[in-house]
Amino acid sequence: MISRIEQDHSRFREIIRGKIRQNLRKYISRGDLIAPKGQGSVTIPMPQINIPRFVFGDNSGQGVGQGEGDAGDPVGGSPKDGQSGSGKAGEGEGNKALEVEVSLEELAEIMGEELGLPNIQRRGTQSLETKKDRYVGLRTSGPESLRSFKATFKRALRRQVAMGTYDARRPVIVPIREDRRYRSWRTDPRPQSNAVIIYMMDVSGSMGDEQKEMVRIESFWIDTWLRSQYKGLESRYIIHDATARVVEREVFFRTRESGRDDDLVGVQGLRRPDRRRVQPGAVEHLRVPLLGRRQLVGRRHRDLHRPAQEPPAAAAQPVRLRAGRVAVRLGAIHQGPAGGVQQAPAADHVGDQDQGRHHGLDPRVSEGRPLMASVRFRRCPAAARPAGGDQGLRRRLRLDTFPVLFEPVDYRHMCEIAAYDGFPTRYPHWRFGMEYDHMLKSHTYGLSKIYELVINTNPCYAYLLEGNSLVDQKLVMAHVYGHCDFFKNNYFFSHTDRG
Amino acid sequence: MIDVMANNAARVRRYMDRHGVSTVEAFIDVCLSLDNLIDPWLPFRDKKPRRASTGSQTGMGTGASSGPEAELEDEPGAAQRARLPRGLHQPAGVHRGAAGKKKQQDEIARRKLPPAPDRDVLGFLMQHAPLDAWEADVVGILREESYYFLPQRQTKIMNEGWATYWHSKIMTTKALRDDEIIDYADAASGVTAMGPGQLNPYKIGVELYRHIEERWNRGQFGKDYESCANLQERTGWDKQLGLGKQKIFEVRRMHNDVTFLDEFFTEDFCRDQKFFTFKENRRTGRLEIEGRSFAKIKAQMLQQLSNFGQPFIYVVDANYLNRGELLLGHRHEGVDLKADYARDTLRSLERVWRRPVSLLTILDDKPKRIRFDGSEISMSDEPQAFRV
Repeated sequence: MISRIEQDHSRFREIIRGKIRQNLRKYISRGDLIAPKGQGSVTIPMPQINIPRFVFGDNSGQGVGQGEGDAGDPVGGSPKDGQSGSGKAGEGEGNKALEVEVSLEELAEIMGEELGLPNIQRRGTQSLETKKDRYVGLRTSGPESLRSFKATFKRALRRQVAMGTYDARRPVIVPIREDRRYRSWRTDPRPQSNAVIIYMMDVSGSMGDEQKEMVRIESFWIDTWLRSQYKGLESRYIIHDATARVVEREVFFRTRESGRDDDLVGVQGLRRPDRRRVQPGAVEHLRVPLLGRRQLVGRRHRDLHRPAQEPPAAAAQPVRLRAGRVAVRLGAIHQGPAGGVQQAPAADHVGDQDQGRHHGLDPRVSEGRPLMASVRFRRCPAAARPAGGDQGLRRRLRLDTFPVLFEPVDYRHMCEIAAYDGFPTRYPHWRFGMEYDHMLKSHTYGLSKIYELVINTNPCYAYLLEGNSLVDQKLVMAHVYGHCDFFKNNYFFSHTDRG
Repeated sequence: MIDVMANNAARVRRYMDRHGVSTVEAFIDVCLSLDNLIDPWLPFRDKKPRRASTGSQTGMGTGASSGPEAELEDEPGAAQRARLPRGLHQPAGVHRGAAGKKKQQDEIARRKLPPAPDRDVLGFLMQHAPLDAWEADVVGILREESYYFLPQRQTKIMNEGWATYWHSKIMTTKALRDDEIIDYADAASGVTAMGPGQLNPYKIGVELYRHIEERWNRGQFGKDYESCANLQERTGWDKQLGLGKQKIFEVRRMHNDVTFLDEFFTEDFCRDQKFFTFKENRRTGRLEIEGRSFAKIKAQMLQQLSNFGQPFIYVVDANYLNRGELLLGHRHEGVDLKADYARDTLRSLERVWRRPVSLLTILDDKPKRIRFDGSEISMSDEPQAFRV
């Protein structure tokens, strides 16, 4: 089952890769986001398709800013910062950036498509990789057969109470379209390895640099491809000259050594440690012919395929590139206002090109605060709920809003709704997939976070991000009331359709 | 609007089933490239929404390529009728005599399409371009959604400022427990943080509301205050009017970003908030603070905000050169259009209009006309710039 946003998303990625709609190719720009990670930083590619419009050209670097400084001072933090007179030159280390151009899974997909590689048939019937669709949570759109009646009626009840149309003496609840809730699913992959690749490379003197380079490059592609076929594939990397060593993947692809060529010794030497690391159970034998005479996966070396008893070595492996969809996990980043998304300085930031979407309270991530599974309106602690409910609060503050219905959603769903500008259903178009892609990436890498999203309807629907701290939720809810009052009362919204 | 969007989605899906995903998607892209060409005042002027005329249009598209023979015909025959956009087919009646001549001129004036330059380019295309029924519907959908999102683009600063004002008010006076104050301050400061070289709508908005509230509380408005030249007296000005709340509620009802800043962005506010203009230093390539001239700052901000940050583009003539070509005009307000984008947007326009399209604009201080005839872009000088 594929949700609609996933369709738009994959369409966007196909366009980016140039598979379809080649006429859009010239509008693709490769933006980068820079996320701090450890000492260095990670560059996350954010490909973007810019539809040409009649827009203002370069403002010849003019703009309005806010802050301290005299005429002639550089505007702080501008990426165009040259050598400023008072700057301290050459202090500290340069920023190291690790490029994550495409995820390896995408790379493998591209390779498979380009070369027309077959999907590998698994040996045996017991594929240990399991995929399970589990129903978790609710969403606002879906097939009627998945409608959750209980949740729908609860939503309807809540809406009627909020709007004051509920009559306790005559408790009739009539759900309308917006109340409908559908069960949503998540596909849980349960990766378990059923294949091991053992790469072995001779790095002794008899291998010239060129040969080694070839092995390295080819094994990289084999690895990438096989990883896309076997989720949770394990690999061991062995380099040897006189002695053999199990090394990490990165080391394997980079080492240049030289020494004696005596591989048998090496093979003997590595049996023991390696055997203990491989997962018990069915082990797929993969022939990797490109490694030629040194291939180890053949029948000749039965010892290497013998079941071992220890937990998957992948867990102990310290460095993992991004295999599959497992993102490089970054710690929460707390940064000042100037950090965060470093895009070109938008001189005309105020009049932005966005389709008037409103979301994204601030580009920060809340730091290790206690997370709440979900905050439902009725469960708000007394402190957050003034006497007389939100109506009392609104009256005392003279805010005049539509009834506001808050709904906590997880961040994927939040990104989906935000990509659709707050609406549950939009027409299929890659643009929504692009938005989704960007928001999901910046969320995953901790660059920005959509705190809330509110749409101009009556009653007003506001989505809160599950897992925000209680303070954040309260702040966001107060913020939403401000927006809602504005939607309802500002003249320029008076003609909008709020149905 | 939720239902409208869902219905739009269902219709687009149906078109995709019938005509192919890529065809429809490509056409949506074309419309998207035109979706900022709308008239912000139309919703307040025109009570009757423009509708896509779907009748008798199907199949007209093929006539567009009927070639030069059609142009040579004296009589506006069937081929030409198909080629010309709707509304231009009827031949002018033959009138004799002075009265007849007058009538004829009226007739010509009446038939000029559009009668006056029209900013609702999308609406115009929807009505008059030779589109298939589904194409006209897609234009209509995109246009409708564009108009729906328009107020949010017009009131970014006000809307965010208002919400920020209220979250700060509610949180600090009602909803916050003592032990949450640090977390709150942390989050709230992130919201109103200013980045270098860019303006934060949350920040400007909330500060401006507070400034207005303060001024009206102390009575710092009106002729007496404005004409007071004594700085000391001005800063100490306090008539204890307490009108601040009332004023900001009024402001949030009546203004959009442009009028909001135009009216309330005062010199005092500009100075207190430390605004400056910056400019790129050509020699070093970095951005430098240019100065803190109030007039310049305000002019620049207003210019960035006017017409929700988009250029003013008008449909000028649907029968340009009496050849059924479309002529657009860009009302130049000091900043040139992005030239490569403008050229590609003309391609999109040509796809919709199916006849050559031209745009009057100013590039590097010279009036120009950019034309796309379906195969190539050409540019020519114009005697004078387009004005409304």
